[in-house]
Parts: sequence; C-alpha cells; structure tokens
Amino acid sequence: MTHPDRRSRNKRKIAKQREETLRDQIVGLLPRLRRFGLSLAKDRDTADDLVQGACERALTRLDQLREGTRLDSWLYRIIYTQWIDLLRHRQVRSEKLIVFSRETESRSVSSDFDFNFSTPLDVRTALESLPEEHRAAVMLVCVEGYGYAEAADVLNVPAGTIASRVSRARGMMSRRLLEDKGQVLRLTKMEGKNDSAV
Amino acid sequence: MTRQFDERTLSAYLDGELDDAAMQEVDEFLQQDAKAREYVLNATRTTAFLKAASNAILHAEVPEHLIAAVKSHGDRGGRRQPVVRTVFRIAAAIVLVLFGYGAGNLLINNQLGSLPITVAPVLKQYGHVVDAALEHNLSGTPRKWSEPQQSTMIMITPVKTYRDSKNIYYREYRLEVIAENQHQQVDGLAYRNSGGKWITKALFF
Repeated sequence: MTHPDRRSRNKRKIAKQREETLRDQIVGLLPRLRRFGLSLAKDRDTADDLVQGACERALTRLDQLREGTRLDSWLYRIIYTQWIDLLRHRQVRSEKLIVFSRETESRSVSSDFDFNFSTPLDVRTALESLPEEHRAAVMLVCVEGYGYAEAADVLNVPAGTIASRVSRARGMMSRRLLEDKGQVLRLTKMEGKNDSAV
Repeated sequence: MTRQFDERTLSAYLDGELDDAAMQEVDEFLQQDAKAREYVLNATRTTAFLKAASNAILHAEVPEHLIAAVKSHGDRGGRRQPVVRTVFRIAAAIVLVLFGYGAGNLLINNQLGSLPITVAPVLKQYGHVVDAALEHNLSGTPRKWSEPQQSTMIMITPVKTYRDSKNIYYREYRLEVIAENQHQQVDGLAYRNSGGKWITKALFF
C-alpha cells in the first residue's frame, strides 16, 4: 500500500507536469490568440493585454479545464468574456483614436491576387465596423474555421444565433467593401423563406 | 419548383453547415438564381480577404513579455504591461493628429509654394507614387521611384497608421528626394479620402 505522503507527492507531480504541458500549448497558441484579440480590440497593445490577461486567468483556473475541452476554445471564451467586461468599463471607446502597429496593417494585396475589390485596410475597416458579437462570430467561423456549434460554445449563444451573426456580418462586410469601391450595389436582400436545416 | 433560400442559408451552405439534402437543394437553386450566385461569390471573396487581412499577426513575433507571462505565471515573472501605456499612446496620437490638422493646413496652404525646390515638384509630380506607397506599403517598408532622365530618385516610407472615430485613415510618412546630388527629407501626414486617394495634410521639416 502506498504511503499517503507519497501519493500526495505523486499527485502534485502529475499536476505540475500537466500545468507545464498546458503552458507550452498556450505559448504555441499565442499567435492565434493575438489574432482573435486583435480582431476584438483593434489595436495591438490592447489585444496583447487582453491575451495576457486571459492566459493568466486560465493558468489560475486550470482545474476548470475539463477533459475533452479544446484549450483554444476555452481561451477564446476567456478572451471574449474579458473583452466584453472591458467594454462595459469603457463607454467612451468610440471617441478614441486607434493607432495601428506594423503588424495590424497586414500585408499589401499583390496585383496578381486582386479582385479589384479591396485592400487589407478596407477589409479591416469593414470588420471593425461590425458589432462586437458579429465580429467575434465571423472571426471564429471564417478565420478560425470553427463550426457553428463550436463557435456557439465559445460565445455562449445558440448555434442558430451564430448562423445569423455570420450571415449578417458577411452581408454587411460585402456591402461595405463594394460601396467603398463605388461598385454597383446589387446585393439586394433576398426575401426567400428559410426553413432548411442549419 | 425550386425552393428559395435566404442569405442565412446561403451563408451556412458556404460554411458546410447544411445537411446533404439541403446542400443539394441550394446547389440547384444557385444554378438558377443569379442574385444568389452573386451573394455566394461576394461572401466567398469577403471571407478570403478577411482571412488574408487577419493573418499578418500570425507571422509577427510574439512579444517576449507575453511568452514570459505564460511561462512564469505564478512565479511573479512576466509582468503585465500597464494599461496606462496604451492610454498614453492614444493620447499622443490624438495630439499628433490634431497638430497635424492645424499645422498641416497652415503648411499646405501657406508654404507649399516656398518648399525647397526638390520637394515641392515631387509632391505635385509624383503624387501617384506617394499614393501607392501609402495604400500598399507596410509601415517601415519604403517605395522607391527614379527618373533616370532627370537623375531624380524619391523614396516614400510610411511610418505609422492611425484611424479616427469616423473611420478615416491617417498615415505618417517620410519622403526622401535625391536630385542633383542633394538629399532632401520631409515628414508628412496624409489622410485617405472617400475616393481612396491619400491627401497630404501636413509636412514637417
């Protein structure tokens, strides 16, 4: 029979190893976490503060990370929750001037990949013009490749809400990008009835 | 008769969120409905551009303090950068742009005619180069242009990008002109008008 002290030491050792593994995994996820944070916060310093705060919060609550839960989804959820909390404390945010860093400007669109449609700055403007919840949904689904159910889990809303937000966000961004380029707006709202499975 | 589908369903179709039967029905609908095809095409383009525009940060170096914060959390190691720093930067940017507006109008309106000989013609003659650099070049990446016949070389380097509450973009840039073995350097501030053209509002010598 194992001595209680030894059993306790083993338990602590296993927990320590798990924590170290998770720390390494979180470091590996940092670029993607920063991308998601940047899409919400719009400037790199705030995004990094957001990501750092989320990582620190996650590391203090590792016991809440259940077996089978995706680490990235869990961290996205924490980032999103922290962002919403931050917004509540920052009512005058729309008056601020956003300073872009080199990384946030994105790469220029080369001429051989030009749809005569938009530049990265246009796309960022279109994304940033979306409501917070639409921006988070469209980033998770269109950029992170999450399914509606997974994105719904991260943002704590029903999957149908994700479907609506992504659809609306796409529509708003497309229209904005087309309008910016002075193209003829032909994306008239289709009024067909939707009763198919989503 | 083919069913009609709304944008929400077409969007779910693009994301692979419909079942097989619904996917097939939407496929048939798309063959017959030009507006729906146009929606799908534009939504696909938007998604592609969104991905491309969002990916730059994936290739950027992750700040050391962020890595340290994860690796040494609990050891009182990587300390979080204070939010005050961000506030200071925002305040500095506001001051800069306000100064740019005021001083820029003054300079543009009153002093463009008396600029050093190498700069004034460059701004007028090579506006399209400045425009292209500000539209396409990352901050810190120069765009060069030379005129062998006139032995003139200009270089425009965007320095920083801002956006105000009305979604108008501003860029600081550095313009260097080398002509007849003379080197002239000017810093400028331009904004992007609704037509996508960059208008210089301020010049600093």
